[in-house]
Amino acid sequence: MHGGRRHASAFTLVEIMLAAGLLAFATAGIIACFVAALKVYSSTKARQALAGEASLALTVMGDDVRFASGVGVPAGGYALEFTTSRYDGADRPYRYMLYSAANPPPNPPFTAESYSLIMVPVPTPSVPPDYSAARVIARNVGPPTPATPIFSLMSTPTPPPPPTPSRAPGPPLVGVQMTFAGDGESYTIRTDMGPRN
Amino acid sequence: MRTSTSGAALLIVFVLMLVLAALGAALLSQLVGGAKSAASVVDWQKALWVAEGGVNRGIKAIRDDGGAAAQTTSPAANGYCSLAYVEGGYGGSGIGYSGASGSNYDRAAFHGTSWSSSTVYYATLNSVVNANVTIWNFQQAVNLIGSRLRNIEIVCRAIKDKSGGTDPVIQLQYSLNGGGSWSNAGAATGVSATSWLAGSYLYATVPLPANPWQYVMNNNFRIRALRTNAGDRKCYIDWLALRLTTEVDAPTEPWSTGSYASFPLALGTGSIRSILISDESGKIHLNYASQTLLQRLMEYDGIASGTAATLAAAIVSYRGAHWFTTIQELKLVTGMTQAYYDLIDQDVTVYPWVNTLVTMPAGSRSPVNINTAGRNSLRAVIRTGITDIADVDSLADAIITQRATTPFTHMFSTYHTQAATRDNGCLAGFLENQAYLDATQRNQIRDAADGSSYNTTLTGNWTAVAGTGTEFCYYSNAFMVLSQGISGSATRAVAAVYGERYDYTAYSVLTGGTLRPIAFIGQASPRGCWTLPTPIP
Repeated sequence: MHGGRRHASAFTLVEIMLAAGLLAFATAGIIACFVAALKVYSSTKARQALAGEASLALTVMGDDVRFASGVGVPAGGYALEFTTSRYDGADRPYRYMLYSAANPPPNPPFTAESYSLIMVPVPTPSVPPDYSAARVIARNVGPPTPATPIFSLMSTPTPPPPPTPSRAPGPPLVGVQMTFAGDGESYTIRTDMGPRN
Repeated sequence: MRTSTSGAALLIVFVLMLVLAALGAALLSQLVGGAKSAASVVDWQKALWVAEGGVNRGIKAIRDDGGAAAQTTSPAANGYCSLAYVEGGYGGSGIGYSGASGSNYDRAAFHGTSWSSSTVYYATLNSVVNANVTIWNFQQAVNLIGSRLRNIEIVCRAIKDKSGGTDPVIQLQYSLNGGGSWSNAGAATGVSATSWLAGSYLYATVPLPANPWQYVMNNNFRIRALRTNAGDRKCYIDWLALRLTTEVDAPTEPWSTGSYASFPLALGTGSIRSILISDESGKIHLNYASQTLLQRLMEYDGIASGTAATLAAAIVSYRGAHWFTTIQELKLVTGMTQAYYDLIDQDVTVYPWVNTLVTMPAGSRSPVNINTAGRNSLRAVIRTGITDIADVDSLADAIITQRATTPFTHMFSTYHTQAATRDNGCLAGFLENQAYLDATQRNQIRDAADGSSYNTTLTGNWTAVAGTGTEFCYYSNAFMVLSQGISGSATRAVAAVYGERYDYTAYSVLTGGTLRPIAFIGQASPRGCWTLPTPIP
């Protein structure tokens, strides 16, 4: 009997295609959001790690500079030399410098993408540097460029001319600018450090 | 009958889409938040290190303030500047030394008469090797103890008795052990002049120890002019003395005026928004101020007299058991409310140096730098000396006006009672210029304010007396440096206390101490706070 046929309508092709299209669009959007979120998470994590590394490195360096004497920066600003008695009680010269096994010293030129910032006793002719025993202050430090040296000595005021007795100006500040890079992120930080003693 | 189920898929999809859209929005929000957070982490750290750089620039400005000539006083060897002048006493009895006894003991140590006078007193070194004149007892230099001692020189004026012959050769020397052993100061110099001219002066700088005052103030510190050659000419010496170069800290200096930088100051991709340096020595020390001084300060800061008296007593009681290491501890004092605290917190401190030489009004004191103290602090100190309220205010205002151009450098000078020769940095001379003060008031202020613990008669003759009050000094040894750094949307502040490290108990210029000229006592830290100096025992 046909008169009682229920009009059990199925989805029309148009309905299905429209629904599928919308679902696909929405799903793609969601997936894109997920991917982006993962990237942001990864980026944030990387930046936080770099910031932490930078903070630690600058803190250590700041302490060293604070108690140092005879602070000097070789031309090019890729190293910092100073004298301190903090480590073994005797005044000894030390050097902060960049090191990479892929581009070992002497540098420049700096050809590697990433270096470690290390502290070593200033080598002498009789005592060559032992980079394997160096104190690693930071990793993932980008190389300096002529335009962006890592270390710079800041100018100091000129004392008044004699015969006016005056205290000589204090040692110059050390400008420090380092770029940390890793996991696709880079992070440039700038500060000034000064001997305080 | 047709059931209306058609189009359900679309409906379901729309619902699903709504859910997914909500989910997506949440994710997007997370995404944006995360991105901001990542940027914030970076800016937060950058701003911090920019601020740290600002603190170091501020400290550099403090360290460099010796470059400002206005704040350095240099005693003149010819005695016109009494500040420069340190009289020796009790001449030694070296070989060939004459005129070393009786009333003439100071012939070589004090240029007693005008050197244009026809009468010139001098000691004579005979023409033998090791003839010498030795002097010591420089304790009157305590007049300068409220300033920073920067340089010690031996000054000697010598001539030979007549021209020709062999020039006497003089080596200036100093001893730290009462003459047991001697060190050379400068190179030996031949004396060729035969008349008392400026050119016949010999100068030699004494290497500074960690605590230069322990040289000057210790009787074991002696200086001498030693003849190192024999010859056919005698050597006359009419002056052998110390020349001290001292330094004060004043609002005319770059660290105070801020002239060392202009803000905002670019640093990398960020900028230093400000560097504020406050002189802690311009404040009242919570651990050393007398109860009266604390009370006066609180009164001038706006606390009612009765309450101020109660609070001052409570502070003194508190510090008897708990040494103040921060001013915030004031809030732990009985009766101290936030409102009271907010009234006085800018005028109190726990950092500056302590003068242990004084015995009045009650033991060691931490003097206030008269050159940087706030008006209320000045009034409080003065009020401990005199009672006339109007005069207190007048004097405080006069001090503020004076120091804006001519900082105070010392308390007394030989000429402070003589208007024509009064030097402007002399506080006693300045008091003489204040016509509204009578002699009694001037003495009261001197007694209350003299950081040297010595007193003087008004005739200018030095007379050591048992310690008096010591509420004023002229230099600072503790500064608070506060810097703000900006990077992107982040602003961070870092503070540090910078100054001289000193051994509180050993800071006695008479017994020797461990004062270091400039050292670091505070820790500018990434946490924006500072560590405290070693607690005072």
